[in-house]
Amino acid sequence: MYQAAIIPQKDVIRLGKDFGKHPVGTGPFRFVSWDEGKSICLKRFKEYYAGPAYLNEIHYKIYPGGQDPQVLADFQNGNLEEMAVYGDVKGKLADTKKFQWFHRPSLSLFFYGMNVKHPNLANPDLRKALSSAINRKIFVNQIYKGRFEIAKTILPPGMPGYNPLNRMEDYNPDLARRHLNQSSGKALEDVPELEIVSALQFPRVEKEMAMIKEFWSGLGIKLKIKYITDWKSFEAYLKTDAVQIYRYAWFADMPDPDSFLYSLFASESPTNFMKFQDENVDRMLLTARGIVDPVERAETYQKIEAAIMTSAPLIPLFYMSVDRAYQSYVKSVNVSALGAHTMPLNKIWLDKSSQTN
Amino acid sequence: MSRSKERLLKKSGFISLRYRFILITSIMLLLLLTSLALVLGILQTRTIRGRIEKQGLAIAKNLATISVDHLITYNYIALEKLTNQAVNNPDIIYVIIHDKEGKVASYSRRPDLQNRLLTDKASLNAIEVKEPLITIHVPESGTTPVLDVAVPVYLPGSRARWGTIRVCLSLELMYQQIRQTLWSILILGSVALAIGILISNWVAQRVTRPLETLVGATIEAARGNLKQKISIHTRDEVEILASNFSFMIREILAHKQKLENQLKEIKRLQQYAEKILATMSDGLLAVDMDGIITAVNPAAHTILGIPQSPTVKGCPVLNFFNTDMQFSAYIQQSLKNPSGKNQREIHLQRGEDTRILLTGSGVLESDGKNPKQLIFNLNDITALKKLEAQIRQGQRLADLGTMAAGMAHEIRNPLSAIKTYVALLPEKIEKPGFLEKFQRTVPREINRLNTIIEELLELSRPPKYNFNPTDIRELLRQSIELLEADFKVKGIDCQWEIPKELPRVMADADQLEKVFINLMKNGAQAMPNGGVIFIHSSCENTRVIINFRDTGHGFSSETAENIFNPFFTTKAKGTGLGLAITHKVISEHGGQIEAKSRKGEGSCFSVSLPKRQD
Repeated sequence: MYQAAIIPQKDVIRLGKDFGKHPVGTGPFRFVSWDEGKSICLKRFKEYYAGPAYLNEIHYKIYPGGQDPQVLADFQNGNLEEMAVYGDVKGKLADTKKFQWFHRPSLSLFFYGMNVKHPNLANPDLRKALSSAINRKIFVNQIYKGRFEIAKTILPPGMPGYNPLNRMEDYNPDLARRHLNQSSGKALEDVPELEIVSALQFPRVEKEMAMIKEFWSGLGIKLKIKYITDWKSFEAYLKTDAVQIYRYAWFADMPDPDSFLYSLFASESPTNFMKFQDENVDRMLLTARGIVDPVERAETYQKIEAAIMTSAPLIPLFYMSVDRAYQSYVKSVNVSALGAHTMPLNKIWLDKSSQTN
Repeated sequence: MSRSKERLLKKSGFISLRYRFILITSIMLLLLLTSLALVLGILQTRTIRGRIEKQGLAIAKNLATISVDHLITYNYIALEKLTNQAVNNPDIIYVIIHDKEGKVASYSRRPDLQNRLLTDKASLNAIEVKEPLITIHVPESGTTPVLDVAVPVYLPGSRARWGTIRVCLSLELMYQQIRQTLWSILILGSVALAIGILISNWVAQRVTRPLETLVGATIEAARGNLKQKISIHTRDEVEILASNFSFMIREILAHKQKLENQLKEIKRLQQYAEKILATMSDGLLAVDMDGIITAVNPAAHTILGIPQSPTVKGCPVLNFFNTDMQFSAYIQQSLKNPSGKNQREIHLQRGEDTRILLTGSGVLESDGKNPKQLIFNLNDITALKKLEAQIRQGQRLADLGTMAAGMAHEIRNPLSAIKTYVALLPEKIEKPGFLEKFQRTVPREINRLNTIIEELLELSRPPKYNFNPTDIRELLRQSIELLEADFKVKGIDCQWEIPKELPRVMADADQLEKVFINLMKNGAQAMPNGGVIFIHSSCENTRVIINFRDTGHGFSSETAENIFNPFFTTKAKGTGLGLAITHKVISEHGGQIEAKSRKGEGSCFSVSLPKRQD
């Protein structure tokens, strides 16, 4: 329930699993209803600490499984005030000047996580080989129209502890091959077929998978692609030991490296799907939480990141950005680096008189 | 305002003194105001810009200090907060924080540019700076220049550079203040200019008013009003100028009066001359050298038969006459030789009537040596000629009567003697001595009659001469020699003065010798008691003149008039035909003979003969 934090402990305990269906948070709007798979409705919370919001209500429309064309059509017809920008939507809209476009890098990372406990991926050299075999530039340019910046670190730029020197090797087929050779004495044909799992299955993702398959086939590594489009089933699968490689993105809850490194790599973290386990890293993560001096704290996280990198439990691909389109009459939009979901909505107001036709 | 002044004012470049004065004052004021605006503008720009630079530098340094930690930790979120707070200051346009790598760690209110490398020139320069740098540039999005302050971020006590802070400040305030200053100067300047113009106008008027009065006076004078009075009392050069001008116009007035009088006199004389020309009986015709009529008086119209029309002037004169006429030839000759003596008698045929004109021509107008116009004066002497012919006829009858009387007298005397002797012959034949007397007288009288008849025959004989080039000097010398002995007897002294280079004359030497002898004998006869005969010869133009002067008793003017008439004589002896024959011979040689005398003072016969033409 990161969207609504902070949440009341009493209600969470009382409602248990149902709390998710009747959430109570601390924002400028309160939860009204949730029509599963269709919409969520919020109403203004008049006693919000920073003053009541300008909008009376907010309706979230749900497009299950991502229905880009439908979203676009609804936005163009004025049924939506806000739309996430994916792919080349901007190119598809005839009159882009009619709308407001927002783009900003966010504190996020798109990556392929690897289950380090899985026999196929236990060797760090193999994991490094897989990372070095991917040409990220081509990957971002062809699949994501060059919209994102390629990632070589775990922590995104702007996140305290980010260190451009901690980078992983970018596309380097020779290095990949060397890593592969170091990983085992086995002949290529003996390398087992790997599996990658994706929660999304639409043409763009399939194209992405095909490209990765081709990169790795250069190393003689075969890849099986698995789609689990139901999010619950997908997360459940990630928690199993069977998971090998998974397609995932991480957004920082707050601009602190702890929300990245602890969440993804601490032994105790429920989202450590890589099953990464390193006592030193665990200790440093706990120590870092107690450091107040920002410089010292950042330096500690840089060290943690460097330590994790040596093991290469994940393949960073790109830092994501927040890309949103708004109708022209939506005013005071302020996109946060933590992602669209952390956007302050209390200042937003609508000026229908300024709507351009 | 008079027309002349208007005309003067329309002259290009005319600017009155007053306007010049105002113009100069205005230009000076404008220059002063422009300089003031420039100086104030520059000073203000420098001051305000210095202030803004200081402000920008302070903000940037402050930001640098508080950004160090965030730059080290790459905390873009914290930096973003800083930049967004900083731009709340209305003077700040944007704040950019570049990280160690030069990427945008934060760009105020432009999160989309985070983590980007800016490639514009200002950014590329900014991320390289080692020391604070202040630049002014015009942003791509605007037209007003902005001030860009770039400050590098160093760790305290280290040269390790961790980023750059850029603060962009608006210079709008500066330009606004400068604009305000300029507007103030403009408004104050306009007021000052207006007041300046008014004051300079007032001062200029004081200076130029007497001058304008004087200008007005000059214009009036130019229009002809010279009787005005100028009273300017400025006690300066203008007053002197005015007084001099007054004096000048009085002088001009006097001159003008004089000229007017002269003009009147000239007009009177002109009218007088015109009247004379109109009323004179002589015709006057003026033509230019091309034969075009330039003037013709009424008498000339009548004489020449030219129509009385104003169009006559400007017509070629020969149009009015046939080319073969004597008058046409005369005009053409005069035009060819305008300076020659062209007095002539001309017969002008006008229909059946023939007019006799005495014409003369002269140069009327000339351009230095070249004549431009000729004037012909035409005197109609037809009536005079008729009268002359009538007189000549009467004279001829009178002469004939005189001659008949003379001849009768001359013939009757010998006839009477002969008649007396013949009548006495019968009764006195016997008387002794009568017959001798008869034989002596009658043949003498008969000879006398015979001489008269011979001389008459000679006088009436048609001329028959043998003309040859004759040396007059030689001929005179011979004649004198023949008479020398006779002169001695009579106690006459003959003196002669004849130049050796006397030209020859076409003459019959025998006839001419007779003439000379006759004239000398006549002289000798006028001096019965002796005297001097003086012969003098000279050459004048085309003629040879020979004078025979004596110191005899002379004769009266009445005698002089008739002396060459036949049978006119003052002598007891002689037929009275000698001088008539002399006159005839001289005339038939183309010469003239004149007799001049005063009673008791001797006489002079002057012979003039044409020179031989070579």
